[in-house]
Amino acid sequence: MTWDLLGQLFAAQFSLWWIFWIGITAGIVIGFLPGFNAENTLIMLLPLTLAMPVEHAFAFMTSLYCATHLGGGIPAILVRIPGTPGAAATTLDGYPLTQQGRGQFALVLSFVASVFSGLIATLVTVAMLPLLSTMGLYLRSVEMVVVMLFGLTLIAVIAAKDVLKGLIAGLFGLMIGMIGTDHIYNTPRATFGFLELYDGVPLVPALIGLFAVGEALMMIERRMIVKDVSGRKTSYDYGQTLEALRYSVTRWWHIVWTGLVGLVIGIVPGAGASIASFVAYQQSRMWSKEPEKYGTGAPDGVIAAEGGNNGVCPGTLVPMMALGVPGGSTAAVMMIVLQYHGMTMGPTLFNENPGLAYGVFVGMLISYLFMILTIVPLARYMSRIVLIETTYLVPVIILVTVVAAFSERQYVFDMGVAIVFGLIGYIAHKTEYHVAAILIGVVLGPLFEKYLVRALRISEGDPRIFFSSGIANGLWVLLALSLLYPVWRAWRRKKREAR
Amino acid sequence: MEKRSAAGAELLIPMLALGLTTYFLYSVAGVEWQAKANGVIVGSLLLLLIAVQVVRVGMALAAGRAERGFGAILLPREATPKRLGMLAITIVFVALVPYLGLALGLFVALSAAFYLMGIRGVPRVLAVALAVSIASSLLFTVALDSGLPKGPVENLIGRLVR
Repeated sequence: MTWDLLGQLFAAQFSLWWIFWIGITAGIVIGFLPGFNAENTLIMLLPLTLAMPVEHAFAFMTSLYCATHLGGGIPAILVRIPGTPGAAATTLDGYPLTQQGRGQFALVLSFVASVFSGLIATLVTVAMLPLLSTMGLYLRSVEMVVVMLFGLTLIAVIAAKDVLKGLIAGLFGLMIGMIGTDHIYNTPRATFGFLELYDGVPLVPALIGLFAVGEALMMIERRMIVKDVSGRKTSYDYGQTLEALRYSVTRWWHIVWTGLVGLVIGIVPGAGASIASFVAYQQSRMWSKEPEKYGTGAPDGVIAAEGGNNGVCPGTLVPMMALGVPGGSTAAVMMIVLQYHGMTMGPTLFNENPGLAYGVFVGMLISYLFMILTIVPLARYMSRIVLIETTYLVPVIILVTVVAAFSERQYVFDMGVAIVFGLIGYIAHKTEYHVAAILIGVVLGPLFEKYLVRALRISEGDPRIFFSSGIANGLWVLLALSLLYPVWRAWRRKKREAR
Repeated sequence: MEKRSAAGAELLIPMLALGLTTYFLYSVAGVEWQAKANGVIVGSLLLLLIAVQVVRVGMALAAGRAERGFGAILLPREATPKRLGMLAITIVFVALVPYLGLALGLFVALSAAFYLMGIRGVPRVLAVALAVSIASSLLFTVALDSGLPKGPVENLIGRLVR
């Protein structure tokens, strides 16, 4: 790609600014609402996007897609309801910050981390597209098992205070994640006779239950979300916004590498934002100098989760554009639009239609720039939601999110699932069984099983397959290092203190 | 003084996990190994950890470090009726939403829930419930066309619009 072409693409994409605004606004609203995501919205709007010129359609779709990832973090931070599964890890430190009266700070951190990790990941994608497009081919089920283990080890990390309780919660989540038919023979397992559970426990209702309903039942005993409301009048000016912007600048490298984690995971077809955010969070905690602060309102925890969550966006488009294999369900919908307009996906796209191929990523860059300008000034007003008394918030959260649980699959059954998980979430909260550990099991369990069984099937049951490739072995070494490093550091600290 | 944990509460999640694991293992008896390998490994580990937790709670009870009952689950006492009431309202709402539709169902459920939570003044309760249910209906039904069940309100509006 030449600089001339790049300049032309920027000029062309900027002329579509109004489409970007519409896409961003719609995306943030969609991301905010649990149960709705870019995929089902784009399917709904397919007749509209098919009727548009292809450049307009792509500007709209990419901006909406990226904005949903950002929007999902807003309710995760303010009321502990992840708007999208990818924002689940954001609740771990975002909500404690809100409870401390620092919701605006957390929101701006998440916006900056989302936008700049997305920007960096997009820039890297544009610069290294040919190389990245082949990466997906090397990360197969064997390597993905190790990537999943990076996320699953977070259970042990979360369980640091009471290891037994944490592990029980995590394994309980993994068992819940195994409900449904198996990946090879479609044998129903522990479905309680419900056909609705054959596809597994629906993730969005489970998320809504564990976090929204469970947390709302906890809120009943408090007058407000914020624990100390004494200084609330002074703490909702732009001060926290500026503080978060300054903090983000000092943590630029954290934003960059978590975004790149997201990008690499996003490239793998089938992997997604929920894996990326947990892996980025786990790595951030593992290498942090203050790992004990994670889960109690650590700003770096918010950055890591949102960095991983948003770095995925350009990554999911890479296999679609370069190989003709959609990296996720949203990319599949985008591919339908491109094919409708007569575009052939694959390596030839970059020679035959470089304007469109690279234009998609340039459009993504522009939508990120628009996004930060739109959303950061609003953080101050959004954070005021925590000043509403729980007598109003609790009924609205419970009833409206239960309605949202219906939306993904359109089963009334899923509203019941949200209530059941709400009870589990409440009990887990009250007895300190680590809701986040249950969630990690529920989110990553089915994916882990899918890759594990697929790999074992290829090897006809021989577990040595997990050590059969250079990349997998490299990942095993990294996993071992990331687990051993905190132990070594704690040992060294203890030794220094003993002196 | 050290806070004593409640044995019943401490064992609730392990008992739920035990129930699910037992049922899972029963449901996969006799199926191909690929369909149950992961479940058997995770389930066995979970059963082992549950056994350790039961022993731990039993020892705490014997040593007087724990008490019988459900402790924190039902505390604070004044919040329990509200929690149970909210759950009851939500369950009734889910049961009735296919017949009442979103707008009417949500309005009735929210009105009851606001009253239960202690908001007083009928006009205020009804006004907030009406505002939230109209906003939710517009968002879920009109803007996002999420396929929620239609009730008398949606049918009436549909007829008027036609």
